[in-house]
Amino acid sequence: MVTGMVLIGTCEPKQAVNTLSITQFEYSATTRGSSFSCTVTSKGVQIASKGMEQYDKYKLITNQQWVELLKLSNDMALDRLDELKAPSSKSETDRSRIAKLTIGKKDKNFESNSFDEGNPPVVLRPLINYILTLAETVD
Amino acid sequence: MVCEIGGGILGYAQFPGGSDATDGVVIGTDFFGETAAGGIYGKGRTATHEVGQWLNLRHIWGDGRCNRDDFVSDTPTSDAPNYNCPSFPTVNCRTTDMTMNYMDYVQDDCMHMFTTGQNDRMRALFVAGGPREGFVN
Repeated sequence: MVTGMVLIGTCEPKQAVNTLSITQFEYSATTRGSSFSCTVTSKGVQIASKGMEQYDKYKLITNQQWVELLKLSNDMALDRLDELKAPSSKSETDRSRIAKLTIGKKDKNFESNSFDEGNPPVVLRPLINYILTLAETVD
Repeated sequence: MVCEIGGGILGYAQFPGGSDATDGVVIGTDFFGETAAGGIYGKGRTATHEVGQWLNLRHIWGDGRCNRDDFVSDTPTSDAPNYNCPSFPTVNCRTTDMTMNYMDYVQDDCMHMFTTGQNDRMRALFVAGGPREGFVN
């Protein structure tokens, strides 16, 4: 019995240690006159848009989808998200909305540096792409 | 240029010194001049904001953290845009934001001023040797 418990502990994927306490992912893109946000928890995904296009919708997600998000964020240094450099600066002249990724744990939120919508820092790309894929499944 | 931009963008511009081919200002059809379709952004202030950028003005929050400047000395330090119509005072970087400035992100009827420093920065483009000198000669 005791051995079994130890084995379970040892077999736990390493990624769980870093991402276990993540409760929420939020991606947002905002500019003068419009905004989009996508918030994902272990239960579901909520997308909201304000401005020219207006909606607020919610859909449940599967456990597999949630685990995929945790996997994609596993190698991220959450406390250094705010140091990531944006690869472009189109939002400085309003050509792009100002995007941001926030990863929430129970007791703390980790917010990325802002970047142009559609062109995140490379390390954030797979996670954001997956968040947006989930967003597209919401009717 | 006035056209359908999409992507939630009301308008955009290019700073002085960029490619001649794209030098100018682009405004979304619903947000050019006074329009009912533009709603709270239908009173022409998108053009004021974008022409400000075309005349070398940065966003008033400096597009970065508290240490990122907008290169104008008489605007307060800030690290974030303000939206809609903020209540006064809105404090960022320990100073009160000038949310009513044309270079913030508030709605049209809540922005109504450039500072003297912004005015000077714009006019500097037209002096002899300035990047937009040709417009006055």
